[in-house]
This record gives sequence, structure tokens and C-alpha cells, in this order.
Amino acid sequence: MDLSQVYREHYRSLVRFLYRRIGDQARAEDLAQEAFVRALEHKPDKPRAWLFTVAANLARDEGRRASVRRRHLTLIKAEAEARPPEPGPEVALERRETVRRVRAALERLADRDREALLLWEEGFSYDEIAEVLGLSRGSIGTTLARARTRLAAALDSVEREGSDEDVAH
Amino acid sequence: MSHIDEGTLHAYLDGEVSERQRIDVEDHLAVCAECQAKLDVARALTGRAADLLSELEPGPVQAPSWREIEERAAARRRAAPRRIRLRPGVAWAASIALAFAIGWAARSYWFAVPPLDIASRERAVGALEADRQETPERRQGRGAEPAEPQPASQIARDLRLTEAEESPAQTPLPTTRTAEGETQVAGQVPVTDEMPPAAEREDRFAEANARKRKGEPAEEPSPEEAPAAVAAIEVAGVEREERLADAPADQTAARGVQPPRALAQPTVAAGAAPEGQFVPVQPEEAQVWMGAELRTLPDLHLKRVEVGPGAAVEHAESRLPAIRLLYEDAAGHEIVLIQQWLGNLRADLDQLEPALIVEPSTARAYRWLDGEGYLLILYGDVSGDSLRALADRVR
Repeated sequence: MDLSQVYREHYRSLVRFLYRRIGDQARAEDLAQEAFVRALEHKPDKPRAWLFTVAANLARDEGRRASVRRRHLTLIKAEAEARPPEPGPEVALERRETVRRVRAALERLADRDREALLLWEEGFSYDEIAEVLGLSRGSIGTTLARARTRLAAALDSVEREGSDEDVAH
Repeated sequence: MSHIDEGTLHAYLDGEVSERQRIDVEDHLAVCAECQAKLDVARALTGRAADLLSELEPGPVQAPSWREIEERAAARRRAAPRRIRLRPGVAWAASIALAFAIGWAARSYWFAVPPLDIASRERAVGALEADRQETPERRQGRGAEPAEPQPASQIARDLRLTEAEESPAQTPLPTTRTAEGETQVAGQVPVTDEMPPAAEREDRFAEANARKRKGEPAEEPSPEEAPAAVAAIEVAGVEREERLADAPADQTAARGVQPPRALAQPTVAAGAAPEGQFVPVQPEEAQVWMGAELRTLPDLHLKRVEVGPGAAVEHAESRLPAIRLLYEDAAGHEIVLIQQWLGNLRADLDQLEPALIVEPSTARAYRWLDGEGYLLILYGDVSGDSLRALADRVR
């Protein structure tokens, strides 16, 4: 497949995958472009799977940096502000809080579970997820089941923690 | 059929099961309320996860042009060093060759590192010379062939002789024997039977002198007929004779006389340093070379005795051999005692006062002329007071 075509079709998907993974849109775009630059050098046979594999590795490296984590928290705060104007301040506040909680819940997942979930949401098949993550195809259903269950549980936990903080204040 | 596991339920909901699996799952769900309930939970979780993740949508994404991506890749290729991909066998061979080259270079480097002080430099010269002298070829031709031209004398440099004066006639002393390992000498070295009486020495000097004046080639005695040590002292004697007195020209039939080329060189002016080289010999041989008993340092460990041209030593008689005794004190310092028996020539050096010479490298040398005609130079990496104290102990 022509890489320029892959770029046109999947660049935004790759940016979204990275953005959900690291929470910094500018950085997500940098890493997505980096993945395509590397693809030009390596000319992979299966460019889409290859690109997301590289992107997942780049995101993991990014996640290991403490400075990124600090910036991450700041950006979570600013994330809702960058979005299109909301109907009203209360709705905007609620949405911002939802984003924060979802991201916090997502952060509590194991890397493999989180990436499987994000790849599925980007339209990857079980075969492709297995290829990117180096897992057997038969384990992907179980991985996704665990990821979804833990995400929901983590979100409930984050919301409870938020309620406790509100009560404490 | 047993209950359906969660992974299969999620795969069923995601549409990632085979047709056969789908039929099996649906058949089971039709009869199993428990698995049906689990399916409902799985469906809810799937939907909720999708909804939650949809909350994490990035803002508008402006994708750069594909050409820009290509240009970045091209720039990176230009900046990156070219990679040479080798087959594993070639890569292994290259690695081994590289390791060997590095090892060889390191070895060459360490052997090429110039010595930092007098003692280590002279030890190196002595060791190399000993190795060279002990080659089979040299052992076979010992005493019968002149030594090869030698590099500048280390001792001349050590003693701060300044300008080196190239002397084509300068040839090192013929090698008589090479010391094997270290030699321990306690106290004075006795005069050996090999040393000819003074009268005989004078005769030989005169014979050689006369032969040289006539232009006759000197007889080249075989090593068996004339030990090199004897020939050497006669060579030294010839030079001494030239300065002291003319010998009768009718004396012939010199025995064991070599051409006076070994030490035949112009008198070296003070401050000049001709080419020269000290070679290891046995103490008894050194005594024969010098023509007198050796002066020694009692109670110190004698490591090696060497003989070399006096021209290599400042203020020494250039045409007489000089003897170098290398000692080691209890602290491991190398102490070197250079000596030359000047005999009647000492009158020329009466003005030589005892002197302590301090080198820029902080090495020190103490030089004096004793009452019996010995020029003595003592040096080592010790203090000047220590050198003076050691000088008092020279016997």
C-alpha cells in the first residue's frame, strides 16, 4: 500500500490513539509524524499495524518521562478549554470533569489492556491488535473484556474518590 | 455445553468469532440465562468503554502535507551516518579483526610511551640491549664482529650533555659477554687473572699503535685466540698510549689487537655528546675493560654492570671506556655509579671539583675525582645529601 495513502486515511486515527494514550495533542501529532517518517525509512509490509506498533512504543517511552506526566496533568486541565465552546459554563465544567475522570481511569489500566482497548476503538481487528501487541488472537477477547471491566471499575473508583474529596472540602 | 467465558462473549459482541463459534454461542445463550446475563453485562461494558473513550477526542487535527513528511525523512537520511549492513559471518570477522587491531595498537602504544625519568629510560635501554645481544646470531659472532652503530647514549643525556656531535668513527665497544640476569657483587671485585700486567699492556698498546701508523690492517684474531676482553683493553690502551707517549715502532707481532676503531674518536669537548651505547658485561670483564679494580658500593644490590664509551659521559676521557654499575637500594631506587680509571691522565682533570648536578627533571648526579685517579659519577632519584653519603661509601 502506498504510504501517502495510509497517511491520508490513518493519520488522524493515529493522532487520536496517541492523544488518548498520552493526553497531549501537540505531542501526539509530533509522534504520529515521527511514526510516518520512520515508516518511510523502513517501508513496512503492513503499514497500518506497523505505524500503530511504533506509535504505541513511542507513547510508552513518552509515558516514562516524569516531566511528561506533570505536563499531562496540566493539559488535562486545559483540554476542555481547547474544545469548541460549550453551551454554558455548567455544562463545560461538567464535561471537563468527565474528561479528567476518564483519563484518570484509563491511566489505571495496564499498558497492554489500555492499548488493546484504544486499538479496538480505532477500528483494529483482533488479528491486528494481536499483531501490534504481540499476543495470540485468542487472547484478545479476554484482554478486551478485562480492559473494559477495569476501565468501568476504575471510573467508578475515581468518581468515588472525587465525591470523598468534595465531602472533605 | 459449558458456560461461555467472558473473552468469547466480548469477541462475539465485537464480531470477532468464526461462524461456527457464533452458532455455538447463540445456541448456548438460547438455553442459558446465566450466560445471557453475562452477555448483557459485557454489552454494557463495551458500550460504556466506547462512550468513555469518545470523551477523549482531540481537537481539530491539521495534518502536514505528505511532502513535508517525506522531506523530514530525507533530511534524516542525509544527517544519519551511512549504515553498512554486513552478513553475520563478515560482521564476526570484522569484530575479531577490530578487537585484535585495538589490542595491537594498545600494545604498541604502551611500548612506545617515552620513559618519564632517567631510571626507567635506562632500564628500558638496558633490557632491550640485553635481548638484542643475546640473539643466536650475535652469540655465534661474539667478539669477532663489531657491534652495530648505536643510538645516542642515554647517560650522556642524563648528565645534561648538550649538543650531540655526530661521530662517524664512533663504534660501540665490542661485545664480550652478556650478563644473564642480575649479578650480585659484594664489596670489591678482585682483579682477575685475565688482566695482563701493566708492562704487557704497554707493549700491546705500542704494537697496535705502530701497526696503525704503518697502515697495516690489524690481525683479526678469532674469538678462541684472543678473548674480546683482552683485545678491548688493548684498544683502550692504544688510545691512552697515543696521548701519553710514543711507543717503539719496531714492536710487532701484536697478539689479539683489534683496530683502534672501537674507541678511536676525537676528544670530545665538554658539553658534547657523541653517539654511544652501554652494554652489559660481567664485573670481571668490566674490570679488564677499565684496567683497574672497580669501585663499588658495598651493601647495595648490584643489578647490572655495563661498559660504554667514555665519550658518552661528561668530563670523562672520551677514548677510554666507562663502566656503569646499576644498583638498587632498599627503597627500590636505582643508583648508578659511573666510573673511569684515568690513571696518569688525571692531571688533566685536576681542576674537576666535586659537584652536585641537578637536572631539570630533578634527577641529581654527584661527580668527583678520587685520589687514585678514578672519575666517579653517582646519580639516582634520591636527594643530593643521599648521593653525597653514598659517595663516601664508594670503595
